[in-house]
Amino acid sequence: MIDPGAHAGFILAAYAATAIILGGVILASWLSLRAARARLQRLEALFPDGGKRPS
Amino acid sequence: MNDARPTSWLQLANPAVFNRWADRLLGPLVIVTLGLFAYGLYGTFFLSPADYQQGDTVRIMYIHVPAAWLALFVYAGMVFSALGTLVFRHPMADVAQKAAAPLGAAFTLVCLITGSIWGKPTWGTWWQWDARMTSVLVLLLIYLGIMALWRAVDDPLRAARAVAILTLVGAVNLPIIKFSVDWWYTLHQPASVFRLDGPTIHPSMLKPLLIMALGYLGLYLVLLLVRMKTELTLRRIDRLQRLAAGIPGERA
Repeated sequence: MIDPGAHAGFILAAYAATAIILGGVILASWLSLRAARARLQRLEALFPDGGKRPS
Repeated sequence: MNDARPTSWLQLANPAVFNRWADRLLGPLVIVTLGLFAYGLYGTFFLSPADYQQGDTVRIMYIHVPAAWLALFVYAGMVFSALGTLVFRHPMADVAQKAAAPLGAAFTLVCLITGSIWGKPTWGTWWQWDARMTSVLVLLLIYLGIMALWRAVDDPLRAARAVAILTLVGAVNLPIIKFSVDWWYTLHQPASVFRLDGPTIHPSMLKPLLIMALGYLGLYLVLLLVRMKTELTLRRIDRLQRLAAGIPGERA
């Protein structure tokens, strides 16, 4: 069982930094995928034939 | 419905096939990763003992060491992707490499920051320009350079080749990081897990450490799949826009 004593701040800072960095990457990755999917859906709605122009 | 099953890596080159398999894998991978982190963190704080010298600051090891392993593992994977781009011209190789670079940079940053925070109470300093720490900092700079190169070159095919070459050149840093603690006198301790004569770390600490490492690996795989799906979607958008605008030379 943990009894961090005088070094509690270091342990907390290390875990907080990890959570912020990895949490940020998770959030950014998820938001990027969501934004890209939304953009693709809008484009596919504009060009239902796959973007090909009539010849 | 197309139920063709990939029987080789070449079939996974088809974005539709890749997306289908990624969608199947993502859910179970997320559940397994969450389970590993939950059990790993429980082991970190409640099952593993404090170190007889460092006390409870040793608990930083459970987030620092797996981040260091992943920083190297991701780069090693990028080296294989670079070979896939240059030698085999596998269409998914550069997608994987582009998706992996920011993840590798993030794990390297976690490694450096947690190492610095761990160093202060243990060594009495936040940073020392010794071989291990400096070579890991160089790894972060290589990751950032790769990410910058992807943005700097407009043509994705040319960018992929340039990045692949830079990745292969940067691979020389991997053995330097691994063996720096043996080749030079460093403040950083030598390896205590991956050793020819077996781990020197007590099993009560080794077990949660390995579980946390598997959690990190699971997180990496989840994020890699998500980022590869994003990149494929962006390429599809680019292709649609080029087709709609009548621009020749669009990429499939």
